[in-house]
Amino acid sequence: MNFMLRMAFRNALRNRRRSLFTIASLVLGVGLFVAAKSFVDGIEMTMVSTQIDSEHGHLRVVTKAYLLDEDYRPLDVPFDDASAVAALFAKTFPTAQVESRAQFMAQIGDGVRTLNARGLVVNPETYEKMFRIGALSPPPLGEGGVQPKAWAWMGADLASAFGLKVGDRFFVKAKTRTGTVNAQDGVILAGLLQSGSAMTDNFTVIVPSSWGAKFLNLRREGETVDYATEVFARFGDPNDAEAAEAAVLDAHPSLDAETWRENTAFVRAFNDIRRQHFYLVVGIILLIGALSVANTSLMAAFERTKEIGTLLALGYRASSVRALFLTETLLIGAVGSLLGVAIGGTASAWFERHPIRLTGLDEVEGGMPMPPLLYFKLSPEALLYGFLIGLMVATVAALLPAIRASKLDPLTALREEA
Amino acid sequence: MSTSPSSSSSPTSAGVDSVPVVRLENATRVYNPGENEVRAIDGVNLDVARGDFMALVGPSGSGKSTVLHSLGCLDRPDVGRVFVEGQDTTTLNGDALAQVRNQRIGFIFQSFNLIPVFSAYENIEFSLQILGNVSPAESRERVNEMLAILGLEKQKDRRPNQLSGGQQQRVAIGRALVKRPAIILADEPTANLDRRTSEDIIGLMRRMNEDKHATFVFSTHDEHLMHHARRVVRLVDGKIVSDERKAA
Ligand SMILES: Nc1ncnc2c1ncn2[C@@H]1O[C@H](COP(=O)(O)OP(=O)(O)OP(=O)(O)O)[C@@H](O)[C@H]1O
Ligand SMILES: [Mg+2]
Repeated sequence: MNFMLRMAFRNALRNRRRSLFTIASLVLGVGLFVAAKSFVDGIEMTMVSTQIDSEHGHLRVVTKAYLLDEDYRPLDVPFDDASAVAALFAKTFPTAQVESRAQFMAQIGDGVRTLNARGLVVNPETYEKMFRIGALSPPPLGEGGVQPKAWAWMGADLASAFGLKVGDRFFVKAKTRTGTVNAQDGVILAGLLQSGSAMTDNFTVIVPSSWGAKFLNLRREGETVDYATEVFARFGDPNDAEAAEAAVLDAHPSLDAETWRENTAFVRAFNDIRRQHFYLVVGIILLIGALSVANTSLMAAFERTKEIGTLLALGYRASSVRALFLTETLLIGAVGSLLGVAIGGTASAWFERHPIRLTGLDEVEGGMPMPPLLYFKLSPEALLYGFLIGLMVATVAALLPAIRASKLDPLTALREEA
Repeated sequence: MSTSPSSSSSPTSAGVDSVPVVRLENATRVYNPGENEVRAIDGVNLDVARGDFMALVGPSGSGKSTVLHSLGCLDRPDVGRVFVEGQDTTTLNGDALAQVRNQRIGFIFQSFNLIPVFSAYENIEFSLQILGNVSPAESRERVNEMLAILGLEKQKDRRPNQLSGGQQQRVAIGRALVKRPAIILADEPTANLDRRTSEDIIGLMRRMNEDKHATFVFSTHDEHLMHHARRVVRLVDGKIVSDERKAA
């Protein structure tokens, strides 16, 4: 065994150029696999965390009735249990952050143009802690230290579509909970929302409950809390979402809840498609690698026919010849796979720290959404699978030449001219 | 089926053991059966006795190599049988034949056929490695002893491409001998060597025959070399035409 390894190792060094070429082709395939997996994993992770951070938390609770009409963002679907849900979370998951908000159909305008937007009435102090969409600070005090009457925050892209800057004024118009239509003039743009989520950045205007609750008639006579359309929770451990969902649905049959995993299923679905595209390309490169491995192995067996004959004459068994050739190729395969993993891994780790900024590339790859900042995500699995795939390719490619070498008849092999 | 109790370990009982080391019984090897058929050997009966130092001679194409290959279980006659130390090898499969070659037969080739990635030392050691059942200490001792006999102690770390043809063939002799096989077969071992080196190599083989009682069968074209042999078997057209023993 020791001798066979020694022989295999030295044989692998015998034709260095060919071994190097084989190693290079494996490095390319394996390295690209690791990079491609890290790339797509990074996109997926970024998109999932953006969705959690800006829109969904770990769990969103709404009424079943609200879900049916969500497209119209109604404010008149009863959600009497909102505070009970919040209390339930607080009790079962003491570390959970819980947030409620009211979603409404807003019209905003600057006097020249009017646009439909998604309005949110929130408590800015807590909301900005739960969702990473930028600070929700009030505007500076006006002349004589007077607090402005109304202000709001707007998605950065939405604001730029209007040509609005922080400090500019606009109006908000909406249908209230009681069905009347209210308009508020001179709303100061207090800040811009930046999250990476298109919903937030392109379509959202956030109104603080300080004036928004009254503006939308969110609290009726006798009610102690503002009306909410949704309740969100964020847990210390994202995996608590499922248990929390079960608890809510159990206690409140009229409610519906969606975990972050359910909410981002589409992200995984199209990233799976993206993965398949990449793996197809990587697969083709690995196939070329396999052919190169097979070629190296075949050439080695062919050139060393006489040597094989000698081994057989010395009493080496056919199976040992096969093992020898497999070992040789596997050595090369292992080096190529290791180097590929090292190079692909290093590149991925670098792009994990130095994200690629995509500008003006919102829709690439046949309309599949991409986050504005591309982080790679290097996982141990990527390295492990990369290495194993490289080894597997090398083994499969080496098998046939090795078997062929072992099938040689000793005498025929010996007759071969050196 | 007759089997020999003796193992491959030590052919020191030359002359005592009546079972031939290798025996060809009516061995016939036919190439291209049919119209252009060639009978490489034709009904050859040959007993190689323990301690023989036999030259196989004859014109080109007379079947010398074929006889050696049959004796060495590298090739199987189409008709007839081959016994190695009394064991009928005719029905053995590839692995079993490899086992016979491994334990009982040493080969020396015309073009040396050393393993190019191994040093002189390793080439000899490799033979013991394949044999198995030799402790590292014993292996070291036997290889070093062999290198001393061959006069290759200084060259032991050189690879074949750093050795002259004569040195390479010495290593090959060491490789064949170190495992103490029942018989050593050499197909024109000196054909690639100059005159003096050839004498050297045959002299070395002869010394091994005398000192270590190793059994040798070698083929040669060289009239000078056949004078070193103690037994000369002459082949013509695949048939043995003479078998002469010389007094020692
Ligand atoms: N593989 C083969 N296919 C066809 N014919 C063969 C083959 N091997 C040997 N022969 C024929 O068998 C005969 C004996 O060959 P062999 O090699 O045994 O002769 P030889 O005495 O060793 O000759 P030389 O002195 O040239 O080495 C020759 O006629 C040869 O052409
Ligand atoms: Mg010949």
